[in-house]
Amino acid sequence: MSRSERESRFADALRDHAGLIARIARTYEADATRCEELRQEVSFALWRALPAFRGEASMATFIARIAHNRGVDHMLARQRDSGGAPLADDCPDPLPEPAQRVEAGERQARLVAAIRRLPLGMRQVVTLALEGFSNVEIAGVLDVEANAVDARLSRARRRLRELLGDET
Amino acid sequence: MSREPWNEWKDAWRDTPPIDVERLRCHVDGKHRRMRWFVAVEVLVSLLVLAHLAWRYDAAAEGSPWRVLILCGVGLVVASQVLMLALRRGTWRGNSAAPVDLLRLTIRRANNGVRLIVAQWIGFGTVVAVFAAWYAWVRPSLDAAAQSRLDHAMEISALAQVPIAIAFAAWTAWHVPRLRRRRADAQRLLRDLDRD
Repeated sequence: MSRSERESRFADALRDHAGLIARIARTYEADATRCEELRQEVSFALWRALPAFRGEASMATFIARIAHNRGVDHMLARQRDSGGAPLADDCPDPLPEPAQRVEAGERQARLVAAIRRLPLGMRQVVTLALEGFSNVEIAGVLDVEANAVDARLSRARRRLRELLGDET
Repeated sequence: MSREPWNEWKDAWRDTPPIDVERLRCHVDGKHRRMRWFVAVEVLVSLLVLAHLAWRYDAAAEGSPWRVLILCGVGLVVASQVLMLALRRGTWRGNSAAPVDLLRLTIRRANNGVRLIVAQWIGFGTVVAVFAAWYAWVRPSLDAAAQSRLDHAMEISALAQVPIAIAFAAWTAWHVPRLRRRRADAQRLLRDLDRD
């Protein structure tokens, strides 16, 4: 893959799937600044991994797998030490959050907080299901049996219902 | 069936705040550039050291014991540079592996990290031993003035090794427990995944 081809594919992938990266990153990190760092880590990992993408699965599943992997790595690093690298100074400031998004943001924040409390296996499955991946695709991303996805997902939904029910 | 609000969750989940894609791209560009610079400087330093060693080798008399030592130095520089490049490549592998495999890889890396530190201590000890053996072999064949110069050079060299050894020992004491903690955390997450 030539450099220009890689840059173009990376730009396309980031444009189309930045939301997916951000949503998965939120389930691994509650702190906004560290979450931004995790998004950057996932983006960089995507850039590094792009030459390995053969198109056997969709770009979305490829990115979802990378995002979960960086998320797990981030968890391990956070457990080891609470320090984080400062953000690059030569990049523009993040976009401000418009006021009308606040209510929807709160709803999502409660859901994400509940997802974050799930055990890792359930968290990964429910995240991908909410993204709209089929059970077969989820099994492919996580490299587990489709039956295991079914079982995990139904346990995760039950647990989420309890968690969100407890908070209302 | 349950009254589970799955569709509501899906709506809430998909309602993502705008992501600054340009900022992400900017970060990736910057990080990639810095990484390439870092590798380039590292390789350049190694090449400069090799050039210096080649010059010293050429300046030393044929059959001189210095040439043996210089060749050992060349081997060490090449081996350490190859090792650094291999380790750096390894750091980036596994991004697209399955999460379970990544955790297993993390455990392997932590184990390898500990082994690498042990190997570095053995390497350090070997260098000191080779140097001492070379000194014992070469010194008797020199005249008194050359012996005195060699003794002085060895004294400086030995003194230079002391802070390196202390710094390395401190780093080992700090880093090995971190590697073990990382391994334990990865094992715990792996057990979590298996249990699900």
